[in-house]
Amino acid sequence: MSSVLRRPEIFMFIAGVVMGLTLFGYFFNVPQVIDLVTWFQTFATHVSFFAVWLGFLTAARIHIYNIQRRTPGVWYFSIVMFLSCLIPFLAALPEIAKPSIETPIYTWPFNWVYTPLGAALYATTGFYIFSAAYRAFRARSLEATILLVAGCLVMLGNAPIGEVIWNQIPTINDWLQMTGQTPGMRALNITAALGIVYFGLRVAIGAEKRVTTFGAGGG
Amino acid sequence: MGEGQTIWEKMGAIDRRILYWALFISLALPYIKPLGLPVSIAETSYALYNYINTLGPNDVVVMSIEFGVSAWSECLPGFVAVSKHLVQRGVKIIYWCVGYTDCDLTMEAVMARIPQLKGPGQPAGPGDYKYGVDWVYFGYIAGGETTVAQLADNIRNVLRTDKYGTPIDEIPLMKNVNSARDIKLVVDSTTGDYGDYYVRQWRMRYGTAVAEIGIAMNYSTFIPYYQAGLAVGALKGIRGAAEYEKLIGEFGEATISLDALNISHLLVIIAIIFANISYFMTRRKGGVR
Repeated sequence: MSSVLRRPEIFMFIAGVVMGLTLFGYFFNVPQVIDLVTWFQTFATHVSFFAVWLGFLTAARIHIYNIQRRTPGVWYFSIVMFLSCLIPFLAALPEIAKPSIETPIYTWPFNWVYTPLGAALYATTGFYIFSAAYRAFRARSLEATILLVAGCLVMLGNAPIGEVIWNQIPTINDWLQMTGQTPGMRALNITAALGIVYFGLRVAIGAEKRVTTFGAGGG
Repeated sequence: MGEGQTIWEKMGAIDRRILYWALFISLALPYIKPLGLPVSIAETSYALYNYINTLGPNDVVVMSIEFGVSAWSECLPGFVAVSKHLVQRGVKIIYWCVGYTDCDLTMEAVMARIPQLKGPGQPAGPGDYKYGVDWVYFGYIAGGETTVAQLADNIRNVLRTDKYGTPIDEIPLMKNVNSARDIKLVVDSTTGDYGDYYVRQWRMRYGTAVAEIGIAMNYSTFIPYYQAGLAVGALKGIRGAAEYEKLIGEFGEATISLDALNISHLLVIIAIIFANISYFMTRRKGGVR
């Protein structure tokens, strides 16, 4: 029985039916189909709730394995990772009955460890971008020069100091962002959307082997 | 740096630590002497402001927290400014998050910056926003775009209680709110493409107005929706937030941060100019290409 359920055809059939009905329900107002699609969506949403749990358990399993095996260069980080998962989880257990976003034992590591680290990480990228811009933004060709000039104008337009330097900078910046880049971005969005539809169709007809073999447990 | 290098070659290969220190010192200067330069308002910020001005106490707006604490510096001021405007207008607010598990921290930060938002059980005076009546918070909801679609169809299929465990049917604000049809506007504050989810699942299917408060980089990707009439406005990172603070007349973190934006952007442009002078002078002398 399990070998039958692991066959790619089963996966293709389920994916194809769900995908076809979902697309149909999006474009056509047929109440029965819409109800069925709503049920699919509810099902998928509930599965994703469990996926959060699954993510926690999978991460815990990987790090317990690393700690048990003393994986070189990794196991001590795994201890930190595992405890970072476990301690907030245990601390929050008594709060499950009455959740609160102001429980000190739960929020302390977030407020005083996670938040400063997150802010520092984001701020640090500014330094890397500055260094990278210095080394990479060179007018080596006509295309690179156009990119460089447009980039500088947008940067100046985004900062009020640009208006102080020249009062036409905001006008140029607005044109670049509202008109100049829009055709390219539209083309990108539309082709990406068509690409997603194409990918979906390939999955539905079983042409996307990576997905179908994964569905069959092939990895 | 090797001996015999020209000044241009040395300039082109400048040690990155010097660049880091230059940026660090430059960013510190506004703290000693703030620049306080004037800000002009972008069309998309005006558009969002004008749209919210058409809303009133009978309208419900969803504020979707789609940024983590690492992006507070760029997204939080705009999110707070728009929330303040909604409070000024007396609009009912639903907060939730479909993208970041650390949104509780962001909600705490919003509450700390808007004293009118009273939490559950806190007494609310005149002008305050009473929890459950004027605003509600649902916390993190897993599932990405599927969940966004499902929330548009039927909120009760996804959410049974608010963040604090109160059943949704016992929340006065949610009494007549069941799907995207009952929501006037979704303001999505994002570092990714969550704004696209709301355009696809809420705007296209139910006609709900959508706006975005994104990091500056997202602005370009969201503009096609605005120009196509699928979005009612957008704020461009910290600059957009400062514009919105100016519009609602409540200057805050974004306005303060603008000095750092001014200095850093100018410094990057000066650095690029120097790097290119070095590049052309070196190339003219037959050096590195």
